[in-house]
Amino acid sequence: MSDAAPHTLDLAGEVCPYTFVRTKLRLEELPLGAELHILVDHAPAADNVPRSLVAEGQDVISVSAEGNRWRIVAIKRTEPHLRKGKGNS
Amino acid sequence: MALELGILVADAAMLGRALDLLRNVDEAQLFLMDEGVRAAEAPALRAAIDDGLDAALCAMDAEARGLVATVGGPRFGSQWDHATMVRDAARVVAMTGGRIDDNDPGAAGAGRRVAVRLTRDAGDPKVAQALRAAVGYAAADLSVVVVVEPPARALLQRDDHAAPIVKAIATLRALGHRFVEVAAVNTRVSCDLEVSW
Repeated sequence: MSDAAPHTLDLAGEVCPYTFVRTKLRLEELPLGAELHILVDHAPAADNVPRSLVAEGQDVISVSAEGNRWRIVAIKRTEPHLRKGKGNS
Repeated sequence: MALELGILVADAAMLGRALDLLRNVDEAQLFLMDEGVRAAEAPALRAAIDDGLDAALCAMDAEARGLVATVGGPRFGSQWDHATMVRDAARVVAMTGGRIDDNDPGAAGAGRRVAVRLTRDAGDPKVAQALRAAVGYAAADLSVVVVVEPPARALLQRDDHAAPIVKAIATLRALGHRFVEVAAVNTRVSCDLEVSW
C-alpha cells in the first residue's frame, strides 16, 4: 500500500475512452506510490480501466462493487506521459 | 511474438475481407467497433477465434446495440485495446465502411503518428466514432492528427456539434493533438499510418 492518504477520482457519467484518459491525467498529477481510488458507474469500465492500468505498469489493488458503481484502487508505479501531441494547428 | 497484423472493422460487411487477411499470419488482432460489432456472432469469426485469433470489440458500442458477451465470441474490450493494436502491430488495416487503409507503419510503439481521416459530413455518426477512437489513440500515447477533408469541413467551422463530438475535439486539443483541414480529398499528411472514416 502507499504511504500517503488515498486520492479519489469520481468518474460517474464518464464512458470509454474518457474513463481511462481522465485516470491517466489524474495519475500524472500524483507522485509515484500514490494511491488513487477511481469510481466508475459504467460497467465495462470496471473491467477495462484496471486491465489498461496494469498493462501500462500501474498496480491495481482491488476492484469492488459499491451499489451501482465500482471502486478501483490503484497505485501509481510509472509516469503515464499522456500528452504526446505536437500542438494544435 | 510481435503482433504482425491489426485489423479494425467498423462495418460488419467487411468481416469476410478482414478474415481473409489472416492467412499466413501467426499473430493477429481484430477489433470490432461501431457497426462492426454486429459481426460478433458470425460463425466465421468464432472459427477464427478458435484458431487463435485475438478478437475484441468495443463494449460500449456492443452495449448500445444490445449485444452481450458470449462464450467463444470476441472479448468485450475498450478503445484502449483498439489503440494498443494500432500502436503495436507491424501492419494495420482499417475497414471502417469507407475506403480501406492498409498500412505498414514501421517501428511500433508509443509516439507512432496516426492520421485519423474524416471523409464524411461532420454530422455523420461515423465522425463521432472516429473522434472517439482518436481520443483512445491519444490515451495509448500515440500522436494523433485529425485530417478534415472537405465533406467534414463543418467540424472546424461550427461549434454546435453533438456533445460527444465537442468533447472529443476539446480533449484532443487539450492533449496537444492536431487538426488539419485539407483542401481536397486524399491530400497526404505526414504520418506513420492512416485510419479513414
